[in-house]
Amino acid sequence: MTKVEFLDELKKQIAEYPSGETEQSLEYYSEMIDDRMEDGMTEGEAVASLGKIEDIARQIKEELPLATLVKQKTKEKTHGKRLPVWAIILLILGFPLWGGLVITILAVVVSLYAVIWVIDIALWSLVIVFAVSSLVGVIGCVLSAVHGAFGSALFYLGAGMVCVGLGIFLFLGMRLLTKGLCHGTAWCFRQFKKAIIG
Amino acid sequence: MDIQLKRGLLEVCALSVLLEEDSYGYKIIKDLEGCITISESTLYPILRRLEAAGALSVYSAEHNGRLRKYYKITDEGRKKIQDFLDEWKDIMNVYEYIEGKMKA
Repeated sequence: MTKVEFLDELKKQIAEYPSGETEQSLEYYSEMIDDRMEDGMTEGEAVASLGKIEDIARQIKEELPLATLVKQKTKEKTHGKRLPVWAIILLILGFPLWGGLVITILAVVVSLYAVIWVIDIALWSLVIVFAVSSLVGVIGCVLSAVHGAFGSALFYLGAGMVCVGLGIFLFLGMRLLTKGLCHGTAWCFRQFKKAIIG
Repeated sequence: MDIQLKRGLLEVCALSVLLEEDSYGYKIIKDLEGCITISESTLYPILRRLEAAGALSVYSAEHNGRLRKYYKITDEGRKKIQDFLDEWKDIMNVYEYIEGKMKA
């Protein structure tokens, strides 16, 4: 075996190791052969004296740090984990079935989300209703008082006050609820992104 | 010989060769021939490990129109040899003790 053949074969066997590692190893063994030939060996003798290429490759691998080996393993695993052809064909053929299911589930999720916001909007309208009602109460109270209907005036005042109170409570609650909904939406998006990035 | 033990010994052997002068792979092996037999594929990881530990530094120099890697011992490397000698003093004491018991 010549030096070039030896280095080619060794390169093949350690090619999957980190590139810096491969290069350094090849340089080292190339230098070793050169030095042996300078010392009087023929090329064939020099190569033969280095021993089996498999042993050399294994020895290099044994010295690699564990982290590098683990990385190597996972890389190999994901490489080999391509879907088989039959699975891809099944996926395509089954699209009318699973496609419909996926779309339905998506639609349900979107509708539920929309419903939440609709409730939110409805409750906000209630806040407006309370505000308008309290205004009406005040106006009614003044008008009734002017006309001398003190009973009605008292009723309008009371009703207006109740509306003001409920309105303020609901307003404060709704502000919290809407804020929470916004935060919740942002959170869901973040989780979704995380799940995709992995 | 126990592999782990041999490894440790070879590290110190390789370093001690460098005490005299900077050297290169093939010469280190030849210099060690009188002391312990070591193959290229065994020496390679040892040199790499010593380099990673900072016990020696590597530089390339031209030789006959090609680059050859030379290894130079560092202070860290000298300390490693000294540690080895100190440690083995203890081990030798234990050795003599055991040997004496065996003879008695």
